[in-house]
Amino acid sequence: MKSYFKESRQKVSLEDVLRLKRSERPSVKFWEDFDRDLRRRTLQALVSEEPWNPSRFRMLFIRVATTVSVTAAAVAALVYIVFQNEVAIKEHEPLANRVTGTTAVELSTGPQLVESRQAQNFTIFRSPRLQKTFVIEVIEVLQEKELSYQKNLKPRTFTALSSIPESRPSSNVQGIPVRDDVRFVSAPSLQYF
Amino acid sequence: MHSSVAIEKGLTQRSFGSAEQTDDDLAYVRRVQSGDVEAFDHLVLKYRERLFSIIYNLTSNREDAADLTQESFIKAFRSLKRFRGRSSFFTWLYRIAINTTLTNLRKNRMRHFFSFEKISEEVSSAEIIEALVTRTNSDRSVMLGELQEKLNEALHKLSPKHRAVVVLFEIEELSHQQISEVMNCSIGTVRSRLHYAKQQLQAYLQAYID
Repeated sequence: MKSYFKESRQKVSLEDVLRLKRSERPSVKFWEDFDRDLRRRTLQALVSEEPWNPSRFRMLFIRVATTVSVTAAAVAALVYIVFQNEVAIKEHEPLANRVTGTTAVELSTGPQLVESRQAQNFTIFRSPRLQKTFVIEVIEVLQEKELSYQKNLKPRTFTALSSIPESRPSSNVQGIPVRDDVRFVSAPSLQYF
Repeated sequence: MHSSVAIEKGLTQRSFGSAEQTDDDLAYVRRVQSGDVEAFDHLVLKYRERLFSIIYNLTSNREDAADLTQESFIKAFRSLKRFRGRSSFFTWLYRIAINTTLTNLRKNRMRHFFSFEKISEEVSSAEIIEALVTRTNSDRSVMLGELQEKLNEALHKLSPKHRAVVVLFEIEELSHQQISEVMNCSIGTVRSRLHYAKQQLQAYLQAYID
């Protein structure tokens, strides 16, 4: 028989070698022990409910994780939009508001300001960059320097700044008196543009 | 509980997955679902050897394999009430066994203790063993011991997923389609894993093969 195999089968392939593993089989005794153990464990499983089911736990985890990540993404998107909006508003914010140490004061003036006497010191116009708010560009002639800044305004309000320079002149260079209730920041703290 | 070994012996052959067997399995599953716990024994007897074989060939440790096979059956038993029959029972059971084993291998990836079953020299393997003895020109039992060790070492050089595909295809004779269902991946992935794994094994086992 041995010689027959020697003659008939000389080549061995990987598949042949792997198939040898099919011959690695446990004994009958092994299966007896196996059955006994499995029976015991099956009965245990019958009487004791699993504290948590792995697949249900996994499903719950996936659902929670999905909800959390979707919510986080939505919040992140919202924050990004708000932040971008803030940046856009800041870019269009009056330079005067960005001057440190100043406080805005609202005065009940409006478009009619252009017709008032004090209006000779100011130019009021709408900015093409903003649609919902007025942008008033204030050009103040102070100590022979022409300063200007912008302020976003709701309709019918006008905002100036309350930081009062000690040496504020009572009138501008053209001799037009400055109204007491319209106050401007002092020249050094204003930003030019 | 396991009283009908003889009846089920015929079902432990390697060909499975036919519509007839699937219906047969489903009938037992329905019985278990309706409260007949003993019906589960039929399923255990039918699949225990094959499940053990898969897990043993993945772990190369008979004690671990026995424990993981039992664990897989317990998991299947606990989950059986949720089995709806969308896939065949054997696909579902094999998936549980493969996942249980892969999880265990991941947890203990630094620990490798081989503990082998003896190679039984059956008619199917005798021819190959003879050829190997001739080829290596060594003592039969020494050669078999060495080969078994080399073969398991070679399998353990593969990743668990590659190893699983080789075991399921070459040893358990599952089709690409069945493996893709069990391992929840595409047939293309199965083919490429098999190709890569066999290339690696070919290199490791050069001394034994032509």
